[in-house]
Amino acid sequence: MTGSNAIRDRSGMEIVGKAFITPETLEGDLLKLAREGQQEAFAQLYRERSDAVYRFALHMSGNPAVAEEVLQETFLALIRDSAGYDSKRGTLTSYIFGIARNRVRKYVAMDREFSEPDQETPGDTDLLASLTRRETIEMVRQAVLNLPGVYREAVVLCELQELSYEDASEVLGCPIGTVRSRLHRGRAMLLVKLKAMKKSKVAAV
Amino acid sequence: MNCEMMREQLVETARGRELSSDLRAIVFGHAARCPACAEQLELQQRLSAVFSEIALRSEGAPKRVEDFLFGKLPVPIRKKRVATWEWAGAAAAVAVLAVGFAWTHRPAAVDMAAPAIERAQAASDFVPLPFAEETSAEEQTDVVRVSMPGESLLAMGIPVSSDLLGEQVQADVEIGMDGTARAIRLAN
Repeated sequence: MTGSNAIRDRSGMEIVGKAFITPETLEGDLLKLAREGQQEAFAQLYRERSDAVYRFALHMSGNPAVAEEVLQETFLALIRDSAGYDSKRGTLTSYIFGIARNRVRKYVAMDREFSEPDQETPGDTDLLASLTRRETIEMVRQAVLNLPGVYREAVVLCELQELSYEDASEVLGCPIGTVRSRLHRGRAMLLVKLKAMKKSKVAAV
Repeated sequence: MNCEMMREQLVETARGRELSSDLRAIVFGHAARCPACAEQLELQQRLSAVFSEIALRSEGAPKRVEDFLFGKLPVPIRKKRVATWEWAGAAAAVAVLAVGFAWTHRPAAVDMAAPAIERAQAASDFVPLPFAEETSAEEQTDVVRVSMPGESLLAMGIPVSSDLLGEQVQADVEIGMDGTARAIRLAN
């Protein structure tokens, strides 16, 4: 691997062995090295992204076993797929989330029924204040799991994974404006859902 | 900006990202005058705070997945590039071994009456070194030229004419991808 096909880091230094892998090594090159069996390259790729992929799958499915399966399948696909990633089309992280998203869809129902929110979202500022922190977090988690798939994806990626609109649009394969509107609608749906959940909780007490 | 136009900006303001500071100032200014929008803004901010807390508290990937995946990595096929100092070290080691071997064995010089074709092959072919690992067909090797006593080459089975005994001769050492010497030949 010398000459024009050589793997180089950002300073132009040729990478020929694991000793040359640095935090600055280009992610596409890291992927090439990982696919060739370089453990250090794979470790760097995996350790920087595995928690995010696992959490994405967990927030989408609500099931740790599914999240573990998705994580495993995503990185196996990454190692074995020799032609998929093109750095001109986006970041490696977006590409990995894209694989994870497709895997999640195998396990998780994406077309949940959900009543559309009215134009106005509930104006109850007490909605997220009167419960304990733990109760609130659990309620929001459940409400996210009950969102229809496209809105759940937008909320999980942009809020719980804190991806930018640009990165989320690469993962979801749609324009930034679509991501933004899905997120806003998802948030509105969540507030409706949370209000209903709180009502039933109060009624139960 | 009216309340209808404000709705989208309220969410972005609550998220605290992807909105310019100018627009944010406009939103806060509107919320200060409009109780309904102020209430919406506070609700959205609380929702953002819960999202942040969920993100912070979420558990990480189980270690067993990493162990499993490492077991699935392909066997490396990339050849290790041997550094110059490693070549020099290997060549020096070969030379030292060869000198010692030559002193203890001191074989007879090559019979120059042997058929010319045999001598020609001997001059171009590598002879495996004693105890060296075998070089596989697909292994990429490097060749480094060294200078050593003629007796040393003879001791390693390289045919050397009697007039080169006692002289320094040039030889090619084949270095494997692990950096060790594998074979040797008389340089042309």
